[in-house]
Amino acid sequence: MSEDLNQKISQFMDNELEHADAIELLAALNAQPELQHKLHRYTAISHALKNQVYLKVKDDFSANIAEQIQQESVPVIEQAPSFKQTYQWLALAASLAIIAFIVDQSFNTQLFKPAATLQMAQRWLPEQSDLNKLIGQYLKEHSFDAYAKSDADDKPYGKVTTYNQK
Amino acid sequence: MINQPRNSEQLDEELVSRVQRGDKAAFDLLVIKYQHKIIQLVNRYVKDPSEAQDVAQEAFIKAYRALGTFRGEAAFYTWLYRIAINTAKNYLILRTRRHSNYQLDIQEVEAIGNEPQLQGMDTPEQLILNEEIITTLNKAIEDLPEEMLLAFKLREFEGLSYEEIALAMDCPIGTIRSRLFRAREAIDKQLTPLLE
Repeated sequence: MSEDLNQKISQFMDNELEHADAIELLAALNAQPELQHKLHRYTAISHALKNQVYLKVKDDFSANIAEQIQQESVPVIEQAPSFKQTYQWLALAASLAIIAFIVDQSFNTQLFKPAATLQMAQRWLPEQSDLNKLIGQYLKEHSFDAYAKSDADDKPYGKVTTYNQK
Repeated sequence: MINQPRNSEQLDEELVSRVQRGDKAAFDLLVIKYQHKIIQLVNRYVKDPSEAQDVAQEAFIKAYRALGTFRGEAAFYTWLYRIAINTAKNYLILRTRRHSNYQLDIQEVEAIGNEPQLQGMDTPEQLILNEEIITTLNKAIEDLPEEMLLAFKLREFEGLSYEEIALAMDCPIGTIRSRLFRAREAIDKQLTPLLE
């Protein structure tokens, strides 16, 4: 039995032991200190062959770590964003950037330039000629001299335009 | 059960995956597998053998806590190696701050790690004992039967798997498994009197 376990230690060192057997071996190692000593010696031999130093590890080295690990929670796996998710975010960011650019261009060229504002007003106001007539009529009827004395409909219209520009 | 030959990295990946799923025993296997390498590595920085083992333990605990961030982009040992080096460097810096006004900077710590030395050999007695052990070890290897010696060398120095050794020596995997075990037993038997 012991020889069988010693052979499994030898296999484990060589990465030739299946996981189920390795777990079995681990249980045996925890239960039998002499097996731990054997493992330490085999490992130290392998190490000494390559480094010319025989390294003696404390007998309770791995047991101490196992004890501390038992008090720790299971490590939480941090998911890396998948390529698909990354692609979707990139597409969204690119779309937002394009929209922001277009909106910016629109504001810069049309809304906040005084000349552009005047052009817009001029395009808009002639359509309001009926309204201008009504305003002129209203002013005449309500004795606003400055406007009532005007003969043409254009003058009140011009003043209204000027007001709008301010 | 027939054991499929696998390389070290595949086995590590499987063990890491099991730890990430809550199998803490799998981490014990990783500790057992790498404890010598990590202690030796830490010894290059922390020259006291006992302290080096404490620092190595700390490195393993840190690795366990950080295992959630391990995604297998590098081999597990490479990742563990970096954690161990950083733990050793931090330990050295903190120890120097505690014991003197002189502060060790990171370049000096790097230089310590590159110094050639016999790790953990603090006293002349330890140096003599190590020399004796290495001499006995070399003699024990020379005394191995030829086929056992060849299998042992192919495994230890060339890093071949059991299957590759079996192919090279034209014999069953079971024979190789047995030869390697017998070789280790024979060497261990000769070393035991020196280690007790």
